[in-house]
Amino acid sequence: MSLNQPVDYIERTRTLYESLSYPPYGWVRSDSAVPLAVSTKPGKECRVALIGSGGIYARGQIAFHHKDDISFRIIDPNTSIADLRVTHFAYDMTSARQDINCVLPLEPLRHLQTEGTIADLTVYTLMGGIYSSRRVTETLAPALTATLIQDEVDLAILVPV
Amino acid sequence: MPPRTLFIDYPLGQTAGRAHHCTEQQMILKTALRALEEMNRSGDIWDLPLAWPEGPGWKENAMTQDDRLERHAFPQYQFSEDATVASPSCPTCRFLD
Repeated sequence: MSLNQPVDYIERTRTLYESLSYPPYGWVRSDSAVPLAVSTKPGKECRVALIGSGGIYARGQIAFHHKDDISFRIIDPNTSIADLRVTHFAYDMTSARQDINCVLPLEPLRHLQTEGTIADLTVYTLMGGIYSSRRVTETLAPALTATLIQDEVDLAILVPV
Repeated sequence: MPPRTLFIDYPLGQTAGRAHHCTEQQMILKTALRALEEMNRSGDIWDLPLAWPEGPGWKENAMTQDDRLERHAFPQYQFSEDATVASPSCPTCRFLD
């Protein structure tokens, strides 16, 4: 592999699972194109949803668990950075625990709100590392989508880990 | 895949930029908002011109061994003190099971 190219995580996962004698990983495949919604408002009038899947919770909330946790958290966008926590089983959290903005870019978005680039901000977090695409598709995604609609957000920024 | 994607060739765990690099984090988020206005084909990916400052050596070992922690089905607090201040009713938690 050339180090100038991105890591082929799919190939690496196949090799790793094979070496561990696990059954092959069941990749989710979508054959239909995702509809492209075009925003009808300028950014400065938009309420932006920040959605982070890195296992982030705020002090005072119940933390995520690590076994197919399909719950989500609503985070107050004015939460002190010092009160944000991160827990996950599948990535190196060193950077995130030094600066939560690595996986939940709350301060950059607050700054964009202050300077008037966006109008408003809402924040949601989830766990990721859920080894059931069915539960994500049938339960988590519809519930989160319903919340976004209820909260009248105009656009969503998804930050995976 | 989401309709519009930005890609940053960094190790997992710094999706939105390096720790304490505010200017970089700001640039990434501004680019994300610009993508909303300028990307007009579903599935397109913008490759951001960022390179891991210590070089690409981290790629050699990325996902070559199973580093995952044991998965427990009860809350995993970063600090044990968080468990004592967590609201049992947690009005901002959405449990879907």
